[in-house]
Amino acid sequence: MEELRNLLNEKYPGIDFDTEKELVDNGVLDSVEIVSLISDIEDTFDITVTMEYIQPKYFQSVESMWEMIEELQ
Amino acid sequence: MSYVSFEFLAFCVAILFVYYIFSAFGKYGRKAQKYVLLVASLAFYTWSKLYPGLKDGFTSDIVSGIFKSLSGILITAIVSFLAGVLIGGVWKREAKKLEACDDKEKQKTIKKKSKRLARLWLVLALLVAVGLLAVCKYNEFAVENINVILDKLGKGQLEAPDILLPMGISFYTFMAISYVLDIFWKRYDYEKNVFAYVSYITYFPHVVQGPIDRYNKFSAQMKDGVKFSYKNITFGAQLALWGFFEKLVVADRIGIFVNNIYGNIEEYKGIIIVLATVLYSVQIYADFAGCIDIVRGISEMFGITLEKNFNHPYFAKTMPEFWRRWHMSLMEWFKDYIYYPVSTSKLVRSVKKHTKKNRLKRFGELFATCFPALIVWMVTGIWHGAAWNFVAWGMFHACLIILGNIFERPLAALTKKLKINVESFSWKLWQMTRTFVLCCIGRVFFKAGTVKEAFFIFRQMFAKVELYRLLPAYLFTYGLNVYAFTVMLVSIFILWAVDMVEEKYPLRETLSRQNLVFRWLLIYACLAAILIFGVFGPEFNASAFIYEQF
Amino acid sequence: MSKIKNLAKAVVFLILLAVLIHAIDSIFTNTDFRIYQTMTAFYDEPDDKLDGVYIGSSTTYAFWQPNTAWDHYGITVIPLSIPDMPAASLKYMIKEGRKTQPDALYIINLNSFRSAVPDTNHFHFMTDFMKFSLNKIDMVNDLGKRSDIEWYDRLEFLFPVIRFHSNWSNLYKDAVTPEPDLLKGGVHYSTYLSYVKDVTGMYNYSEETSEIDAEKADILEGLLSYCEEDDVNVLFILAPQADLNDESHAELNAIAKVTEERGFPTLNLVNKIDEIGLDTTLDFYNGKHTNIHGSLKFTKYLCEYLTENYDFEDKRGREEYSDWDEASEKYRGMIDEYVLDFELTDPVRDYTLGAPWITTTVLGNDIALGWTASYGADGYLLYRKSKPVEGGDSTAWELVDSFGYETLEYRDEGLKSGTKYTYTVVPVKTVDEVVNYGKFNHVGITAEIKAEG
Repeated sequence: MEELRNLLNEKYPGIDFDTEKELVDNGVLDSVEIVSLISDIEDTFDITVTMEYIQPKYFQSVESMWEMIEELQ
Repeated sequence: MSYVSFEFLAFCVAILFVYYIFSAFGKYGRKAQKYVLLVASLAFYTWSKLYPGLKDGFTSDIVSGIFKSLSGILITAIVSFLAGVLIGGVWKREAKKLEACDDKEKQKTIKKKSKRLARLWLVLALLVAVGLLAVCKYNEFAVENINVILDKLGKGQLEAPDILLPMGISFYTFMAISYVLDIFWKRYDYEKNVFAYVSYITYFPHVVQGPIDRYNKFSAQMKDGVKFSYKNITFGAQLALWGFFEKLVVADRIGIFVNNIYGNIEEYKGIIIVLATVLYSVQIYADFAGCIDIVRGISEMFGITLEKNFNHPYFAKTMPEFWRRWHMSLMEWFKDYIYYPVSTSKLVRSVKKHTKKNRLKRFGELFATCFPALIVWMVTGIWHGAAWNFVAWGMFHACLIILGNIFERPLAALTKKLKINVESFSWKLWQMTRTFVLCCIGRVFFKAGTVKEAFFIFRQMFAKVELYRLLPAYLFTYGLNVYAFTVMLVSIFILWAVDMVEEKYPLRETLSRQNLVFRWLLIYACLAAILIFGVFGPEFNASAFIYEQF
Repeated sequence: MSKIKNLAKAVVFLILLAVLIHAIDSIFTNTDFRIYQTMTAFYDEPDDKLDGVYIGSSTTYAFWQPNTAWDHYGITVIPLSIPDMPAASLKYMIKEGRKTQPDALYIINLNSFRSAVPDTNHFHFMTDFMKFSLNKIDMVNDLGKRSDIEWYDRLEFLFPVIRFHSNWSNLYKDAVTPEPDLLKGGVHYSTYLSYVKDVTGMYNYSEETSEIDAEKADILEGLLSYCEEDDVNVLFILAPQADLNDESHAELNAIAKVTEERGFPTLNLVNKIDEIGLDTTLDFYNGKHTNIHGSLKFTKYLCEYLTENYDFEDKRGREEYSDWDEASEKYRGMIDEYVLDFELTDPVRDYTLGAPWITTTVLGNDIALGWTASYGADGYLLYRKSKPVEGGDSTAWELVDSFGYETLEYRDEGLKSGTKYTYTVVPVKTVDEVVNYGKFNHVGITAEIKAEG
């Protein structure tokens, strides 16, 4: 999960991923950013994010993203 | 029946009454409430045939008419329901088989087989749903364009078959597609009760013009029924009342002026067309948002909250932000069911893969974001209307988005260099104005009947200035006399003011905390304003909803 | 507890809402002041004070003069009439009247049967000045059903604001509500007072009857059943309109026959123009209505009938009817520039004496008049009225002089500059010391003395 945290902090330095738990619902990450993030996650963790996982609930926070990554590995 | 009619109000009161009587019968009564809604929605859908039948008796003509008008929506509803059952069944069996089996290779085969079967049902369902939409809505458009080609080839012309356009087909088809795809993508459990599902598709508040609701959120509210709640009734009624104000007092009055200018566009040049276009942009917002507020308010009175569709779109500072505030349920649908799937599709993935490590990297990144956007906007354009000017409108916005993406970094750098204070009020005002102007340009394509006419309107706009048309002697002769024009401006101001407040505070909650006298005075004032200044009644021609044709 | 509180809140909210809608309704409503006056005259009358209520369309108020009836016979009959009141409304107007005048005689103009149901505008005339009541709702529903108007389209007749709210931009002009004119329903619009049209060509005498249209027959049956069940004291009248074509006349004759055979007193007066003394060349302002001259004759005729057949007391001189005295006096003041003095005194008329033709010649500040002889007359009366050219009120008709039968000219001297003078000559014949008045030009001939300079 540390790797994920580093990736996020590097990509979006302006966002505090420790406190933000509703990244999608609060509009912190928009659809363009999510697509770009998916691409980076796929490259870093060598997974393929299928449509089943492209849902708000998996991108709301670092924790939920990690959950998704684990399921896909 | 129209949402803006005494008939509809009486209809809602009657259905509300029956609906809440059921809630008095405990848990089973409340579970039965969805059947009340189903019956009401079917009655609403077929009302133009049903009402004469109820009044004068059911002839075979009337009965066949009722079945004909229901056939389109019921086919889509039942096909998508069955797809849900079949696909959901496939995933259930897959889960069982996977649990019973440990071998990784075997698991892969199980997954592959299930996916193939599920995809089969998906494709069939989509073919039916999209096919019906395409045939009913676009047959004339297709035939028109085929005829142009045939003409050039010197062959004979085809005739478009006369097909009945089911009410709300653009909206309910999208709802059905969203359900099937959601089941396919294992987002939630499939619905086993066909009546519950059909009542979602046919639900009378959203079947005509949306919002495009998602099944999981909708059924969660409807499943176990709703107890009578004073808050639901009052809050819902307040929202609907505001919707009537937006539609009848603001939008329809502006419409008189706009139709006067746009209806005789050859006679006008210059600034008056600019004014009409700006007012049209306000009108289309008040009209659509007003109607949405009416149906959301009414739905709230039934205890069912529908998706939000508008969030004060003209306060947006950039075009992408605008599209997060305008027709939100449609844009969300495009995001979830076209943008993300296309972005993560094999084509886009392979382009990204092959451009990652070379000079085309930037191109690859841009392709990954712009290609899906292009697809989305093409579909958005054609969804709004079976005509080329709507496609042009879609392309116009696609260009804005794509150019915005391409120039995002250089522009940000430039802004920094020029030391522009991006937090200042003046900069924000500039951004809002710029966004609004771009919107207005797009609106010309929306309002014009054809692409040719749209460019004609632009030419007229810049041919001369004709500033004199803004003088009182002229300005108040375009359908609105000086009093009506003033009322129009005042009502637009009220709309703006309420939106400004709503941007920061939840209006109805805040209102409910104020004094009862103040609240009631406000409500009575709103009612009086609608009664006196509303554009309705025998003195005015019935005004159609702008979005109802979809 | 909060449930009851919420229920109470809801009830109070709806009540205040009804009050608000009613208030807005009364501001945005039909502003036809003529109908306002006739309806107000009826509604303002105290309970149980009228001898009769005369119900019908404009045939009622153009034929019946309540003030003259009071002046000569001391009877109190107010018109409850609205332009183009259709047959279907008659029953409801009787019900409306009986709320405050249950024992009055209800005189019904069967001429309303010329139309079964009203068009939209006349529907509004019916409803906009009627007080809101269950009777009104009944009437709107009945008329709406007969006219195939959907229930939600009928709302504009119960809540006129729906039709008239778009007048808000004109509101400041019509903001003043009219004062009741206190004339007991006596009308004074200009065509009624000053127009004369020769309707001889239109008028036909006919005793033919025909089939009654099914819808009208149904309405008639409803009306008569109601009168029988509720024991209403009714008198049916067919007023002598001149413009009835053969089919209408036959149908109306048939309808009058039905009411008569049912046992209701019925006066079919269309064929009785001569008996009433109406002159088709002088007494009508159009084919449908008498002008004031004709209506005075009609009123007298009907009063004779009423006093003969009904127990109406002559209430002239009674303290509690002083408002009728005031109304009559006011009305006489309004019509004295249109009506000659003897017309109001119950005169004897001799219509064999034809109206003389008058010529005028202006000579400086004098007008030389000449008129043709009227065969059989033994004298002439010269009347004059004047009006400033620049605008202003006209004087009343006044008798200038009376002449013997040989005199056929007169020079009116020393007249004012900048004034129009109107003259008419009445041929008279004295029989047994009673003056018989002949026909005369009701409008008169006008000559102008130009202003100086």
